[in-house]
Amino acid sequence: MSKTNGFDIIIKIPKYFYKILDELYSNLYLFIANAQFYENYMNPEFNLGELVVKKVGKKNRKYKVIGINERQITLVEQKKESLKDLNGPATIYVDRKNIVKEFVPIKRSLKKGSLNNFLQLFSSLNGLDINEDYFPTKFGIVTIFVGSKKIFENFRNFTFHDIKGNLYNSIPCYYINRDGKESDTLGISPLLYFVSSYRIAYQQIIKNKIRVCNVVLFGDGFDELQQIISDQSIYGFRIIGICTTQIEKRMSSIKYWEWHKEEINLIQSL
Amino acid sequence: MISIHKINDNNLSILLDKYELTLNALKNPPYFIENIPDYFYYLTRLLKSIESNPQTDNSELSLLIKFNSSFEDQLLNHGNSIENLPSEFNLKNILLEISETIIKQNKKAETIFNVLKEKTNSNIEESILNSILLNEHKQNKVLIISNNYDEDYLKESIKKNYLKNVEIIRYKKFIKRREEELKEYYIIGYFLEGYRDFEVYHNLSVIINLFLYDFEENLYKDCLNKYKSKIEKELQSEDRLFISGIEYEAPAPIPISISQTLQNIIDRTKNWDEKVYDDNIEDPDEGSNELILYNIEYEGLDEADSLKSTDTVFDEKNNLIRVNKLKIGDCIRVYKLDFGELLLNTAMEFQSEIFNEIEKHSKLWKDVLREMYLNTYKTDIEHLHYHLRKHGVRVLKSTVLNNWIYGKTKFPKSDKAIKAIYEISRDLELGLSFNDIIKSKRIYNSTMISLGRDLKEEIKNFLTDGNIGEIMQKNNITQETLRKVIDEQMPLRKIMNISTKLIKAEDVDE
Repeated sequence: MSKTNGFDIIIKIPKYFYKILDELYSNLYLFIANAQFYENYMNPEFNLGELVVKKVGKKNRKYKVIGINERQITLVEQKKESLKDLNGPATIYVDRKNIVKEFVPIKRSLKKGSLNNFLQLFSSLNGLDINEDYFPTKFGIVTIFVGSKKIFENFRNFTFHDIKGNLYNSIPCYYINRDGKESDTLGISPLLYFVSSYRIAYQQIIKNKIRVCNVVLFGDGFDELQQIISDQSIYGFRIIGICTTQIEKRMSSIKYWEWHKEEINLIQSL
Repeated sequence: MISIHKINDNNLSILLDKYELTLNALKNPPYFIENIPDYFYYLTRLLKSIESNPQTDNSELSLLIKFNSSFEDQLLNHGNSIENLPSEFNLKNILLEISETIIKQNKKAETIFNVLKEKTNSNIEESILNSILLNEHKQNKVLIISNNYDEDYLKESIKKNYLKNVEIIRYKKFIKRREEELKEYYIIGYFLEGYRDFEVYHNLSVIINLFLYDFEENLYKDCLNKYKSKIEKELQSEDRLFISGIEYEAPAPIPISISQTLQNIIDRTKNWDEKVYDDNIEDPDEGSNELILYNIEYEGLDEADSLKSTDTVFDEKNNLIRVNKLKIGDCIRVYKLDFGELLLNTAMEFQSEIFNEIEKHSKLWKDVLREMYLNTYKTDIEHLHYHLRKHGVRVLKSTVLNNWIYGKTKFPKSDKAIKAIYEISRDLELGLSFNDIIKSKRIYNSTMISLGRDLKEEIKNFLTDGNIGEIMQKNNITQETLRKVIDEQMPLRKIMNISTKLIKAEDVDE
């Protein structure tokens, strides 16, 4: 999904084809998440002070990176105050070559189930082995989705047949509300952002020099499109839109395809 | 989706043909009349009408048409007068004849009420059977898309005929309703204003049953053709070709012949934007250049109220009732509390950012106008008023001076006024902010209207059960205060006499 090839596009679907719209929203969300995952699939770095968890095993143990040298990485177990034992926290030394097999960096404490959702989804999409392969959990390039919270919440209803989690709780995403308050779907750094308006995305993400690969617009109200296009020339992201109301005027830089109900009905009747 | 139900009214068809012939004849010397826009407005009002009253000769619309002088004015332009006009050229009489034919026997209303009766009767018998035999979605309720003007009349007729499960909804509310909720209704519409409402209805998944006169079908067909060419434009777009590589060749359009009269009706809406369009459908009186004022006198009192026919007042039982439904002997309260400030405060509290903008824009045009009045026109209001009129602004002098220059009016009623002030003043800032001012004006007006409606509803509730509503509570108004204000400013009075007066819309102070 990099900007180097292809084109920007907006597709309009009439509002009442809500089932088609739901499917488009969720599939595009999934597709872009995976493309973004792939884009960030580069050499893993572990940093001092970072929190990490064990990828495999039933226990949900959290560690902090306290030492890195050429051969080893030193981790100290992080426990709640009440659970600390008298001997002090356990310190372990992990071979640098093996660390990606066993551990992933996280942003905050998270449940074992949440981590498993993430690992299972991306291993099944990309044929990765959870026990062996590297899974990126820090993402330098992200995609921003702009749409209503309802669309975002609806991803909870999108499930996979062989994986426990759903679309909402398997992909690391930050939701930022109108007041700029963030909440995350997992305890992992965001691969995607979901915001209710582009203005928020600009203030909280783009302006903070986080590299944005795509800005994806969902639903109605593409009233910020002019602004997005002018920012695009500076930040170089791709624009993709699924809209339900007609955009005010066509932009020469974005391809536009308006599906009419007659066409959709025709296709559905085939 | 739209399903058309055609209504045949022979008398009306003949009269419309006559109207068309006469209009064509009037294009020739010595009349040279090309078009009478006001008449097309009234013609559409008549075709939309669902009012029927065989006992009356003077419907409100007939009164307004009689009072309208645009035909006479155009005759006078070429030295002709309506008194000396041969009867076959008297377009006004034909229009009045159309109006009387419709009010005496309104075929559209008859058809719709027959459908209503049939739908609501069959529902009772069939509903149990249906639920057992048929698995498909039942439509056991009827929804009529209406407007501000017809709403009360429809409600009354439904009540009179003991029709159950019929709901009335105004157009603007209807287009905001969720489609899932509409599935259980048999939806009835009885007018097609033009392309905008056509497109809204056409793109709904539910069926809108449009009841139109057979000659109105061409109106629908014209919209359909327009829609087809719009789709074809999309199908043939460069973007589609770029993406799919498939070229689309559109079939030739189906020709339809449209009468001049219908063409003029269609053309009326051509330059309307969505907002103007929806306002015109919602409130058909908006487009009228004439108004009927009801002068209401009370027993034992010298003062009288002058109210518009569509205004509403409280009756004895605290129901809101239309002024044109009032009778001598009725006891009413006229809602005329000055809550302007209160509404403004409420609105500002809810949307302070937007309302700061609105204040700024309101100040801008008013400052330019005041500046012009003081410096350019040296307080010569006659002269300023004359120039405003020349730029198409039709308001009273007192409006300009007392309300616009020095009064509380935030924005004038029409966009034209602000445009005219710019054209006369050539004020750069006003010119640059013109679109924003218009936007602010619309937000302000619609907020005030909806808050005003809510407030009226709160007063109604207070009168009925003594409860203080949300707006009142927010403004710290207690039951005692409100009771006192109501008793002082809107006491219950008994009507002694009602008389009507026709005036031009521009003669009302804004």
